[in-house]
Amino acid sequence: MKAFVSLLCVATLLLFCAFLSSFTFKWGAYFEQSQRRQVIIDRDTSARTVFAEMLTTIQKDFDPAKSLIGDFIQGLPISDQIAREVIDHSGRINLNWMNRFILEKSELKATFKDGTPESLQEFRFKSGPFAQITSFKDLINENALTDLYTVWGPININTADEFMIEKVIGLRTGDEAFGSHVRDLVRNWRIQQRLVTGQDLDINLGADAKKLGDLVTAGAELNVNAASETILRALFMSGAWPIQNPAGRLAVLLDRRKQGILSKEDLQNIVGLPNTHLIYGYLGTRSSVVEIRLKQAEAVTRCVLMLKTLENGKVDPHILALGS
Amino acid sequence: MNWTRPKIVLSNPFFRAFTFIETIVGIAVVSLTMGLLGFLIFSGQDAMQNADNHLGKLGVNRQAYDALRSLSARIQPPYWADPDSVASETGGEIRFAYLDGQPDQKAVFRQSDRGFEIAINQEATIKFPAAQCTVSLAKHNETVIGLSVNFTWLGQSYDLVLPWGSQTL
Repeated sequence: MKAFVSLLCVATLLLFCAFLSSFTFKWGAYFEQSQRRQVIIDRDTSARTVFAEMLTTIQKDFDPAKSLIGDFIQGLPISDQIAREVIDHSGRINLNWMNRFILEKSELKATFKDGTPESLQEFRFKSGPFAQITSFKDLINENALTDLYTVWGPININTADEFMIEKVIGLRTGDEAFGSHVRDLVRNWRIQQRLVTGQDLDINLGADAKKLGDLVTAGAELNVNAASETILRALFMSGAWPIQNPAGRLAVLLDRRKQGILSKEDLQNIVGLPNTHLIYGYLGTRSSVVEIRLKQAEAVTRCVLMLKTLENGKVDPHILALGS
Repeated sequence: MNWTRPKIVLSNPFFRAFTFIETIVGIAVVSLTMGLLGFLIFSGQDAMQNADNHLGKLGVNRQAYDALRSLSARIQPPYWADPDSVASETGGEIRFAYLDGQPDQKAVFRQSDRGFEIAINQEATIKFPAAQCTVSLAKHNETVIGLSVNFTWLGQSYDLVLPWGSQTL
């Protein structure tokens, strides 16, 4: 009987070993699968995940009336392994669209290599618009190119060059006649020295306005809260607008923005021109384009966001570019 | 001559031979054990073989997924471009413009029952004959924003959107 019990014990042990080996095979394969899956998931995380979380937070919590988008993003908690840099392009002049007259009248003309922005118009009309700021390196001094100018941002109906408006709207819609129609409208508005609003665009373009998506805006070109002193001085002192004591008003603006974010009403009080004046096509208080660069190890991931201001005062971020 | 059962002399005075029933049960237990052992070992090997096959398919799908993601990221229309001009889909073929941001640089994706292939500028063609995924254009608010990829992974079906490297306004 004892031997029989021993035999049963050996049989049970063998069964146990068999189960164990079987599970080892199966679990080994399972873990291998899991590890491979994790590798792929890891590749999708890091910088792109950080951007995705930033977008959600900006949409939910960012209040442009209380802080600058750059400061808000700098204040977001992210991994210590990732370094970040934020550039507010709303403080820069868009070389793709800005009409050359304001550049000619201001001290910004000194940033052009030949001392005048005349060549800019022909260059961009012939070959533009451009997706890289370096495309203008033969026309503009290098330091100014990286500090004062940008190629990112929607076409501002109040400040953009008429020829570029016609060209790009023709390209965008595949309808050159529509591009010419918009250009004629813009020309009439400018002759009347009128500040065009979003409502004007909707009324005059009708259903065709949908073809343009968010490409054309009636919002201000620059955010005075984010623009450099050089840009603001160039615009205030250009003599293009009837500002009384522009140097004094500029000094007030620079002083006031140190105390907090300037509102639209603050800006109008400082400038001293009625709220329908064309100058508010150039000067505003909201950021519309921001670039975020995240550096992880040696890799830099860049994201350019367009911030559309909603009726409730919040912003709706839209990714213009995301990549290395 | 009378047959007599031989007397077994053992050193252990308490040992006795198995009864018939014990022998039959013993043989049954050993057979059952050996059978189970064999079954479990072979089923383990089968599981491993299946896992290898599965991983092999995953490997193919992963390469295909990486290639599609890479292709999608290289499609970089400028923000002023017409979103409908970025890609067009006809049958099992998708044609792309704005490869690496250049309007005249193009790529073509072709899908069939035998996997798919990606042709870039009619120069290089990458083939994925064993890839098991379905690819189409992904849309958001009627605007094409990238590629939509459906594939099965560890028994689960996934729908992923691979956005273009840049977006239009």
